[in-house]
Amino acid sequence: MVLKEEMSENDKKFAEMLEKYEKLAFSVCYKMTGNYFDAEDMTQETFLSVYKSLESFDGNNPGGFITRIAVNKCLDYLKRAEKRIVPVEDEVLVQNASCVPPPEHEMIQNETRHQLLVVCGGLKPPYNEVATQYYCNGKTAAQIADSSGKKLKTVQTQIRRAKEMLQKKIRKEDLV
Amino acid sequence: MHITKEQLNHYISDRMTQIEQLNFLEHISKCEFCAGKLADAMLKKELVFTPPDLKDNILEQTVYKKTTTPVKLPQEIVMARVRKKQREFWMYTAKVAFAVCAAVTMIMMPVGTLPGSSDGNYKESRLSLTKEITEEEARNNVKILDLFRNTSAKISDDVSKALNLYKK
Ligand SMILES: [Zn+2]
Repeated sequence: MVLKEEMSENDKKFAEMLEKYEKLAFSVCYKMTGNYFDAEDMTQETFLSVYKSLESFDGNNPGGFITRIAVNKCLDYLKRAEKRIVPVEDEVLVQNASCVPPPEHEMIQNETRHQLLVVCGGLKPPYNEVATQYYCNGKTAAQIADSSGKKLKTVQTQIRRAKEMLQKKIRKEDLV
Repeated sequence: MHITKEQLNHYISDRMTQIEQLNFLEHISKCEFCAGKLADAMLKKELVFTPPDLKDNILEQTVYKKTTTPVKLPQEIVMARVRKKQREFWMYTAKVAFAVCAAVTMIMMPVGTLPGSSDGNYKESRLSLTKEITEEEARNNVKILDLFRNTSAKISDDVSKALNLYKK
């Protein structure tokens, strides 16, 4: 690990932006892709791009800077995957327009957690256990390695494999 | 034309048609001002929890990745390091060659000339292990086996070390 003092000014700036806007970028990506695991990939791509274009960033409106990149990445992804933004039926829209929108912040959190529990639990061992610990219980790979006595590298590989399986699974379900 | 407050609200509360959404997002992908508006609107609601290691994974691919690549060193230091590595590599090669020679010599040696075997015939000397042998003979036989085992372990160790050095 690199100490903060050894970081360049740019790196420090980047680390601070990541700390502050990781959740924002992820939420934008999640809203656009509708897939938790694809949102993870898109958030990574977004910040890699942010890192590369940091020199040209004037420091104003960092939220806008990051969000614009995230939206770009997700639009590319949606086109690439020939995925369409979840179509909303016009009739449903008319009906919904008249009612008060649900308090969706909590709903999104709970719904996401519930969905994650279901899909992670549906994997075969040992991936179900690792994925549930990581995605649903918020345990880091290091913590999982610690508590299970597995090697960190093993846990990281299992998380990566689990994620690949989950991505495929969710994309398939989307098609149905 | 920038996005309106109404559009923003509709996007946030999922009340846009597919085409409206696309137009809205296409504009945001080109306009940092409006992207900032979307960011503010998103930040007002509870954001989705992220995977635990996402931040670390991103740092590893950016900040940490760069600092692990060697800093540019003066030419003479680089050359000195290269020469040292080369010397180390040849030292290991010589050691390995020696170990191989030693092992080959031992294998070629008639068993009878090794201490502890009473018979020139290897097969018979092995058989004699199961028969009655003196305590000293048994000890010597164990020593020979150990010597073989150590030598072969040393060879494979040296070979892998040399390969590692060479890869570097
Ligand atoms: Zn605009």
